[in-house]
Amino acid sequence: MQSMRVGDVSRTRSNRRFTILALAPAWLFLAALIGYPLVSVLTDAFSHAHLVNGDVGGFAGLENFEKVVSDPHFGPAVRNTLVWTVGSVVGEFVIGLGAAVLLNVRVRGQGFFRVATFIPWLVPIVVAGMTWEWILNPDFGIFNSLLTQSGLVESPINFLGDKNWAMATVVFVNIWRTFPYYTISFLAAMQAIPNELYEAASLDGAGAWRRFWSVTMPQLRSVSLIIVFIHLIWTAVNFDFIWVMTQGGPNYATITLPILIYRYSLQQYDVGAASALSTLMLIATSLVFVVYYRYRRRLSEETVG
Amino acid sequence: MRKKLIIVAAIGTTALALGGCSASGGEDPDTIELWTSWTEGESTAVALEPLIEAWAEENGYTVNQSNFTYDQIHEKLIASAAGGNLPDVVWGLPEYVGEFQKIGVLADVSDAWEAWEDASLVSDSVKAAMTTGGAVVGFPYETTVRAYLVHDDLLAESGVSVPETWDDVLAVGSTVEDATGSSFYGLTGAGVRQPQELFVYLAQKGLSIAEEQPDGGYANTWNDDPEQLVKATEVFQFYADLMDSGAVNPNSATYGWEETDDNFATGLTATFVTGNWLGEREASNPETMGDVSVHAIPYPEDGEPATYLESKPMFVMANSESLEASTELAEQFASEEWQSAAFADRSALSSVTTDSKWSKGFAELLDTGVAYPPVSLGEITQDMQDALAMVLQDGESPEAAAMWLSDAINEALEASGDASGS
Repeated sequence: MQSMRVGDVSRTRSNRRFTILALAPAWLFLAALIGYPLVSVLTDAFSHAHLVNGDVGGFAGLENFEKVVSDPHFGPAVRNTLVWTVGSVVGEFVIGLGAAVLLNVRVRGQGFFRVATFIPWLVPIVVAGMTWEWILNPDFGIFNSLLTQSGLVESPINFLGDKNWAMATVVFVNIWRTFPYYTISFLAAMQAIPNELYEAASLDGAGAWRRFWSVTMPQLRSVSLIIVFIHLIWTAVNFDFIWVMTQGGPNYATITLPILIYRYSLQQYDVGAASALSTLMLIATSLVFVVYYRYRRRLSEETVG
Repeated sequence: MRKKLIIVAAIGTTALALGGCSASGGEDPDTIELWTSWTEGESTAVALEPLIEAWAEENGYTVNQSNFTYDQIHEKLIASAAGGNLPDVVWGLPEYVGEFQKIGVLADVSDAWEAWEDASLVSDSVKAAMTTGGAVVGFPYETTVRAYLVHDDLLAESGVSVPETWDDVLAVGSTVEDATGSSFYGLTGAGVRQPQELFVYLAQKGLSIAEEQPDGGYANTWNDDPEQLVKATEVFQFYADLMDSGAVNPNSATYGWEETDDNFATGLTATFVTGNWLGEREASNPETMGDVSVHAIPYPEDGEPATYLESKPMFVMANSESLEASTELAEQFASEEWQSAAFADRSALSSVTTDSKWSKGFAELLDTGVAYPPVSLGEITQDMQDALAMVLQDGESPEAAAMWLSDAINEALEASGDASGS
């Protein structure tokens, strides 16, 4: 083994210094914008912290966590967060994939259909939420008007005000707005699949259905993994969509963990409880990321062979 | 050379990055940060903008005015208070008085109030709404009460006269809806308006959500006094009866102010308790808003008339670098000149009024106005919504809801440090 020369050592050190110096602004920026708030949340989670009551303070141990877990709204919020997250991501995946398959077919007006499909994704969440509120309104909404006039229902359905409909409705609206993101990603991946694979499969006698499952889907594994896991985290921590449409109602029927965090912090001013629940969510989403990372590595190893 | 360049770039980037995080405003004694919540382009904004500009020029200040919704103002103030980066002057709501005073961000403007030449034109109840812990903490920039608005044509078509009592309302039942297709009585079941409505019906029964105790703290005493609990139960029973009688749209149980105001303005609801801002809908809904008359809110026969007094305070922040000028600007908003220009039909000054029903009809009800107690209301108003949902959505008994709400309010008072003995 050849020993390193003095010049190599000093160049290596110089490079390391250069790297550290070049990265320092980004590290400082991350420390200020992410590190400090994160440490504050973790500290507050174990402290008595209240925005309005100045008499409250000191180390709380696990009291904030006990308060959160024993809250009667915690269980429903966990369940709703799972329904909201899994329901949204599954729906977005299926519809996004279906739309991508259709848009990948060469037909006249293909460009128009592609643009039209992407429109919901361009609509801001607040606008989308408020627009759907109007559309679904039981008194003057166009959707209920169509349902009653066509005879499908006897009386209007209060989609966002009926506990039996509210969660399904917000999930539907979220799917409507987000599926184009999946479509864009899948379409890009599909267009990168070599045509030879389809030709070989056809020569082996594979029909369209078989080609989809044996050629297209395996080629979409990588992109699927990324967008599904990213959206699992994004959807679980999403606050604004449900807040705009139902504020967690009717009567807590659509309350999710982010909305519960909001209620702790900005209604009850209990920063300790809000931070404790935020910490629990951080742990949960970190676990999701760990699972993703493992799958990602396994997939990379398979690909490299 | 390359090293130097890297170091300079690193320092520059860091400075830029951290500079982007730095606080803004509130620290220059010649600049006043003003937060408002007017509707851009509407008459209030059009009237106030030149007045603010002229005042700033005359007094040698720069006024940076930012416009937000009330919800945004509330949340930004809470966040800004935690971060120690507050504006100078803020449009507030009466609900904020107690909690912002407890956070310690409100300036005591009692001396300025005493010296204010228009103070004598303000009623005691309005001054009380500006006062917490013995200190005046705001100037009333907009004051109104709720009234019972009636579409006269819809009631005439149904052969129904304007109800004066709860029993009158319940007796009408579904008569109006059967005759016109419009539901009879508007009701808000959710959102910020719901606690205000519930608060009025409780007041009509002589009840308060939190009463001041001898030690200066507050408590809800319904569960300690069987007579009060009966009255609170009757209020929730009234809501349940409204639903059962067919007088209200069943969807109201989950409607907020947006839906209820819209439904009244468009004639989908024949009568509704709301504020005089509905007067603006005469322009946007001329065909359905032409027949509206203003009345006192129906009350229980064994109770008393009452309405919600919403006197909005112009806050000055205690840490303002320009405290004196900021106080003067806040006072200007409540002055006769500015009130006449921007709030002529919703002013706390007895000298500022118009001949329209939206001003006079509402002003006549001021004497019966009741205001929230000066406690932290964030959790309490949510509890009020939850209690009504127990009755209207979960089918629980009115008594159970009243008992639960009493306990929930006391828990909230305890948590916020407002409770008696805290």
